[in-house]
Amino acid sequence: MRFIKHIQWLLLILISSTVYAEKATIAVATNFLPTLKTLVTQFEQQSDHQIIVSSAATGILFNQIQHGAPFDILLAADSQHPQLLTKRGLAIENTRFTYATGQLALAFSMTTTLGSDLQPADKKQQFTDAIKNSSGKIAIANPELAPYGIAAQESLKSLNLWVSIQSQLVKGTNVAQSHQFVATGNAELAFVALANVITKNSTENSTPHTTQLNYWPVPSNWHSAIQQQAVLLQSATNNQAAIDFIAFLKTNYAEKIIQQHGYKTADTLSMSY
Amino acid sequence: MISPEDFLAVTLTLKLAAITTVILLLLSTPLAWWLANTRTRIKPILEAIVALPLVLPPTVLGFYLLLAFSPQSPFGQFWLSVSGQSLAFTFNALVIASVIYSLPFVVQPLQAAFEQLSKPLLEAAATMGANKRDQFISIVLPLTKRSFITAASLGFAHTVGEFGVVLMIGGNIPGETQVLSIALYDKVEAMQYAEAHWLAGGLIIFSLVLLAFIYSLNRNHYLSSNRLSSTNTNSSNDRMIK
Repeated sequence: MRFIKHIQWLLLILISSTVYAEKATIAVATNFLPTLKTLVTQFEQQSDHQIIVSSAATGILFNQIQHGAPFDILLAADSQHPQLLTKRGLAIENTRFTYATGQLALAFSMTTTLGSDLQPADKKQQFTDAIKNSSGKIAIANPELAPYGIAAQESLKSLNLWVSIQSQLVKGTNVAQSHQFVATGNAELAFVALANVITKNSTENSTPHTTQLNYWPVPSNWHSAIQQQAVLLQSATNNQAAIDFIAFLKTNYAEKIIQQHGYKTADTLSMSY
Repeated sequence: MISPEDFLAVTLTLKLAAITTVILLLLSTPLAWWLANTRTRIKPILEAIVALPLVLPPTVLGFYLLLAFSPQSPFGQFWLSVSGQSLAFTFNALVIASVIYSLPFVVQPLQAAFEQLSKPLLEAAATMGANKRDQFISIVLPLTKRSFITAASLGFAHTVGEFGVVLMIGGNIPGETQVLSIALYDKVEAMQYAEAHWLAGGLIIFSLVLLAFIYSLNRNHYLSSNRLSSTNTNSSNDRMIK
């Protein structure tokens, strides 16, 4: 299976890149931007196509696409928006697929007494204690706007803490802002995308203004899956660069990169079940 | 229709704008007076600093305020030790941000008005024994009344229209930091366009009425007044608004 995927991909590249090079514009949900940049670099090394990236919250990108924004691919942070685009005829039928499954993490400053170690046995207790003992603000992405916000809300509900922490809650417009609130030290705890903390810690040292963060991955069975779906938009019908990139996204090679950035992919998901 | 939460956002916005305007009038009057009369060489630099919020994107202010409000920064630490509460995500934080953000809209009309004041008039008053305070209340205030109204209205309206800064430092808490522009943004993002129309349309009408009020004030003044220095004062106010 893996082998076939590779072959397909190589064939596509060979056929398309030798014929002509094209440009494709990808609209991407902010949380996936750092990962996408890595993917694009790899993709462009292997093909003559050129990829332009535009990032914003999924809802904003959706609005822009509805009003004719010149995007070829949408990499959303959820599955609803790509679904809706397909339904409204703005995306090409049968191109929708889950390119990454987001993972939630609880982030906090390294200066707090909470350690980075999470005991596998009593995760529930550990999370509950950490949240109950906090006195500062707890940041989440807005559940009404962001899939990571819904996941955070569901996790807090499964811990029976949603009601009791209402007065401590602050909401970012997206999960990146939730991360920003804790990284600047304005929030004590924050539910963030695992991708946010992984990329941050590996690519960047702490500046004087940002806090080094520790994090605990939130068990994925505390919330419904954050399925980040991709879809080819109508303008990409004859755009070989866009079609090739989607094919690239499905290769094991790309999936590895996506996993390294803190997401699960079809592969890892089936293994974990 | 307007939901209770939206109504909360409306009252919060009006409260924020009112408090900001009062603070701005208290701060800006002496500042504008000093700027109008000073001969210091660094006056252009000071004027430029006051005007900065006019040209900077709100994200610049939002970014630095977020860092300043953090309990790790000296200012954030100071605030925490004085008030026992950290500053970000509070109404007080929005007031501080709004005062900075709307400062030029209040200082500039006042400064322009003060600069147009007749100096001989004040000197004459002084020779008749009026002290500074008397001069200000009996001469300066009546002559620049319209500029004060203009400055207050602009400061108020601009604070109501604040968005980017609040988005960055507010944390979207109903009744505390969720102002009208943020509530509207959420509605658009969540695709609740009907509710969004109520808020957006309401804001347009409110701003239109307020600006029309300011312009009518200046127009009446042109037509009716022949007071000392008044036309000059108002032409500079007009420039401010435009």
